[in-house]
Amino acid sequence: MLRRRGITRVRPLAGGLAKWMALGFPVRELDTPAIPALEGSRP
Amino acid sequence: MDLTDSVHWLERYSAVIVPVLVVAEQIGIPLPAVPALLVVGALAAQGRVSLLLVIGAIAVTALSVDLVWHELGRRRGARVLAGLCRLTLEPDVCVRRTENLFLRHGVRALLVAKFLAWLTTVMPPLAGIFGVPRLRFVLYDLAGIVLWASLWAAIGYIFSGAIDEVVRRIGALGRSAGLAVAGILVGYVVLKILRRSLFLRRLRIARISPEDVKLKLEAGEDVVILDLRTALDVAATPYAIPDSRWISAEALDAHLSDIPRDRELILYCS
Repeated sequence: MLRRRGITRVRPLAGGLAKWMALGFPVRELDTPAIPALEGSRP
Repeated sequence: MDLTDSVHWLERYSAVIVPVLVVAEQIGIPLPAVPALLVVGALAAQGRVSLLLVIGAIAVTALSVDLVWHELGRRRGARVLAGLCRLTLEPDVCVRRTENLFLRHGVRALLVAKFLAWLTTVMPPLAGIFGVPRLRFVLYDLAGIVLWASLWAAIGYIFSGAIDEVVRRIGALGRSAGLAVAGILVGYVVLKILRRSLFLRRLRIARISPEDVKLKLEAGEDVVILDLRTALDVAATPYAIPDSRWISAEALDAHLSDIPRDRELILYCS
């Protein structure tokens, strides 16, 4: 998607965040975004 | 077995065959549940099948399977969704589309989930991941299943004459018609798999390992890390790689000018 928009120096992280966390590498905590459509559920 | 035989089997065992086809669709196997429902509707119009029995059997079976996926979603989180989406022909599109729909409409999306092949597979675990309560899930899911089955059966019921004629004509063509349809279906699936394999091959060449990214960060290298997860993904896993910047995939176009083009970009999703 980015390449189609002219951003070419792009490298996807193998395994994504799941692999990063599985390897025990450091992470920082994010604020949970509000999702109005999920009111009444446990986000 | 030709089409006429299939219709006879459907007439005798519709309360078993149609739920099996529906469950196959629920796990991503493209079997003709909708054509079967149309024929069942047409058979019901001739008094040869009980619609109530068939729709009841579909509701019980499909709801049971959906409840299992919902529970797996609750207990195992996003891993279930990723695994389930691998079964579909376009896993990346599958996850993204489902999440976007869920983001916009919440649990109400279950009402239309059965009408969309890529959605029926992944919506129940997604509802589980986001903790939609069981009773609420059952109500919406059951309504969606009954709506879907009733609509297609009703179309078959109303147009029973036309469907009868189509079945008769295709039946007259014999096995060659069945083989042609099977050939088109197999060709479609093979094409999708080939396209995906090519895409993944290109992606594998460009990928960077987590170990290399960690080394770059520790060495203080000038890299930009973009977190392209959807809001739903972030809500499910509210953590990020240090120094990364979250731009949700939906908002990417609005932030294109903020993304540096002269530096190496490392991207990650869920």
